Amino acid sequence: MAEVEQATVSVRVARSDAGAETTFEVERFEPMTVLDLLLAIQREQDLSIAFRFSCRVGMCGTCTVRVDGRAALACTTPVERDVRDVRLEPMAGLPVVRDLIVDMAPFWDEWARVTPYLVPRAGLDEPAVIEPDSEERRRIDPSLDCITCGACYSSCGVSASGRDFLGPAALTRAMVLVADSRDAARDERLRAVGQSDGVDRCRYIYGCSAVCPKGLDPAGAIRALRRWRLGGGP
Amino acid sequence: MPAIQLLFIAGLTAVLAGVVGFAAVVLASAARSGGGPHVTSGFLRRFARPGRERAELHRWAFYLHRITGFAIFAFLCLHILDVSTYALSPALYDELHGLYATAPMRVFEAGLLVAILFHTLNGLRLVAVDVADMGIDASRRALVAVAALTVVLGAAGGAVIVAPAFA
Ligand code: FES
Repeated sequence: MAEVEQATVSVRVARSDAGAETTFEVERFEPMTVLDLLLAIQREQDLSIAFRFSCRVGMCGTCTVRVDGRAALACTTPVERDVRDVRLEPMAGLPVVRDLIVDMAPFWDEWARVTPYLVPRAGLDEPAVIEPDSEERRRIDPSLDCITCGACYSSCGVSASGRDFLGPAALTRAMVLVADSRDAARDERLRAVGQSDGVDRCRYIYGCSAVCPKGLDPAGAIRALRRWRLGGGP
Repeated sequence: MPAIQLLFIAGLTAVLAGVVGFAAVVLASAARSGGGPHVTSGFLRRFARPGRERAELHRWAFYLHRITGFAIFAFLCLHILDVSTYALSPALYDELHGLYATAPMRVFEAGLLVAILFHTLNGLRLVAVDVADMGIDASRRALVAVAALTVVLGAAGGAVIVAPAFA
């Protein structure tokens, strides 16, 4: 069936002020992203609408919103030609500051709990060489691109419903560091992810892996950590 | 109708009300989290595309798993009580269990079978995810198999359960 191009897009935005306008008709242009919609609304219809963005190219991770219920980067999510309605909401599971802006503190609190930085092993005076085709690099490389946008946190049915859970982003970070042979904090991290609010809280909803704008697989990282926790590492 | 049967029906009504209430709580929490019950045209359109969007099936499997788990547990509690009547009096037990042969109860049992099938098969899928290190696509295919098996076995078993009431 041929796609019918729409002249305007009806955008419904979740607003925090009860009296604020929520529905906007936006003239479309090609190509158009969700961020373009928001900028057009702000420019032409309602200056007070609040949303975050910075790089506009999917690198900084600040523009995450829910588009028709699913977390996505506003700047890289296209509004397809045949789309008539779009519903925009702030990320789930995080306190709303205003309109589409959320307070990321709970996300960062979980992130901090896995010691999210490399703790160098003693005696590593020379730069370590990790061969491009080594098993270690094969494990780590696909999970390095996290931009901490929080899309996985929002789409996780456990994190977003406010339960105690380290969450997909922090666990992916933990997996990367546990797999790193230069790291000295492996045992400490494996202990952290093995607690009751760690990897066992995951219910394999796969929301994280489905929405990650960088194509990461947090559910795969969680499965790896579940195995490693029992064997003491990779 | 004997008092013991009325008591059982009251218990079953409480179980069903509990299941409906629990489902409402699960769906209300779904509305607050990602995905959730946003069945808008845009969501459905994306859902129809192959690929990662269809992973959203896992979310609905999670909700259904919780609801069927609650339903099975709640009925099991009632069932333990109704079976215990045998300890009081075998006649009372027979009187109460006459209800299980009625058409509405057989329909309920068929529904219970479907809930048990889904909960069991989906539980085995979740074990397999860990044991076989199943990624997003393999797990989704397994989920489709779970749904298909639930429908086929549920329909066959349901027919066997319900048929005597209409014979
Ligand atoms: S604005 Fe930077 S990721 Fe969207």
